[in-house]
Amino acid sequence: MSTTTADEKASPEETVTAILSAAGLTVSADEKATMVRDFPLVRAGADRMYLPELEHHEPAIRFDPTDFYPTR
Amino acid sequence: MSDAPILTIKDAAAALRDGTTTSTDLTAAMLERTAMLSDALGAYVVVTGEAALEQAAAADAALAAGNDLGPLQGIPLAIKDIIAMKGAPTTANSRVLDPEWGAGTDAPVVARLRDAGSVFMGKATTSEFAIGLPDADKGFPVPHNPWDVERTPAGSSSGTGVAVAAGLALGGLGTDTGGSVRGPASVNGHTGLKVTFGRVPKSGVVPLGYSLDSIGPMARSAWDCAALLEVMAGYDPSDPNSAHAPVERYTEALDGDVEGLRIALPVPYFFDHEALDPEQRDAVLAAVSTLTGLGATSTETSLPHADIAKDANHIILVGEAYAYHRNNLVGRWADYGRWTRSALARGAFYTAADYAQAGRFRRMFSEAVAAMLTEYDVIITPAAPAPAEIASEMNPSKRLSMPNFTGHWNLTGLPAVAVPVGLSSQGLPLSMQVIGKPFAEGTVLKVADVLQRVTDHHLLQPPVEALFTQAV
Repeated sequence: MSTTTADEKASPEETVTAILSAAGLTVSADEKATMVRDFPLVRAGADRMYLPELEHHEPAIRFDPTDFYPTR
Repeated sequence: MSDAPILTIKDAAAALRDGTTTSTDLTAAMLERTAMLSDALGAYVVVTGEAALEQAAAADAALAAGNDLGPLQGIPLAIKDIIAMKGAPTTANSRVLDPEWGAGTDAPVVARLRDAGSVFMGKATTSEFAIGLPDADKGFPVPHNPWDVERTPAGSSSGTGVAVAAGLALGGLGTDTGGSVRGPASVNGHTGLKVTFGRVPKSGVVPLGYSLDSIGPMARSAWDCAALLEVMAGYDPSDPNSAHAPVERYTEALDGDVEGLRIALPVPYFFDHEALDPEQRDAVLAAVSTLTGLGATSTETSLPHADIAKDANHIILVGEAYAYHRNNLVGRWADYGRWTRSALARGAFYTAADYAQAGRFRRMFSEAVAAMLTEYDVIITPAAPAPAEIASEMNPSKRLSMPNFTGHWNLTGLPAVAVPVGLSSQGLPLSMQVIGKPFAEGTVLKVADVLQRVTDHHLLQPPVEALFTQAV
């Protein structure tokens, strides 16, 4: 059985190729080159949000099921 | 007539009532000016001149008959072209949007302005789908900054910002998901208010980020924005996020008094970022000094993780936008502008966990801001890191590494107004941002109004006369 470790992280090129393929997006070579170049910055922006102090925070999503039953 | 005088809504409303002018004359002059600046500034996608003159004539007749509907009656306004308006197409500046989208209907906010007797000049240019940058290849007008046409008018409510600055409307509507009202207001040199999330119903608007979007007023002065908001605000059942909060008489909140007002200045990130233009920073601090000279107090403080808030807003924005655009991005990639599709596609690069985590961050950051706003009445920051950029040097990649001072307040859903605070050494508008508690639009507009009572930055006019061309 094959395994993957953190040391075998895919390159931005491989990751972007896989994401575009999974998303079904057909982009030009120039556009893809820009996406590959920007990918580490894009990813870093998301990774920075995983702060330890958020452990006890729920997402701020407003959804009230009673909104759908106004005459309840 | 080639150069209609630029008036505020307040002054125009007075002039319409004392007989100095008529809505028909005001509208005709602005239509002529619009035609002469159309090529140079690209403020409108569609000018609805005939309908505007009919509305103006109706306003004049009503006023003459003693039927006074308030200060917006007979006032020419620009409507951002992602907002539905009867009698004009809604294109979102895109080949992708169904041409029948919103056809024959007014968004609730447009209907309210129509009922108040406003005159609609036309549909103002927007960044395609309120994101990205203009792409001249797609056949839509490219908006230009009237202070320097080589520079960006910012987005996405570019056309409304340009129209207000250049005297092609006295006010108008923008939408704001990460700064799209305040950005154009800041670089075009006028006032623009991002409202509390839910304050103004956003149905009838092509969505960008569902949990961040808002419609806001754009005009020269805080008083004008207050007058617009009085009509725009209020619950509407067609928007599931519309708030039931009572609507104030915002113009009456502008009492000129900031005695005892407590101002927070969050220094880290907002005032010490290496990309912050010193002239922008100094102009904002000078405006704060003006306010403290009038009785306000200011305190330097800090807001934890202000740098990360920009990323959280971006992830939520592109995640929600990607959900809306996904099928068209797959099937019609080439029909989108190159910058638009690149910006939207970022939504595919984040995971569902990232979106949820951004929601967790959103709660923590909102709590931190709420704590700050228990000690202070308003927060003040620069509205943008710098004056208008050179348009040809802009691209979505650059934005990844630039600071942003506006998305924080979409993330937290708070009201925030961009206020002119002078011109740079290059003659470009500088701007301050005032943020308040939920539904405290009256407070942030009051601060802006106080500044505008003792300065004339909001009345400075861009040098557009050299751009006039013969109307066709």
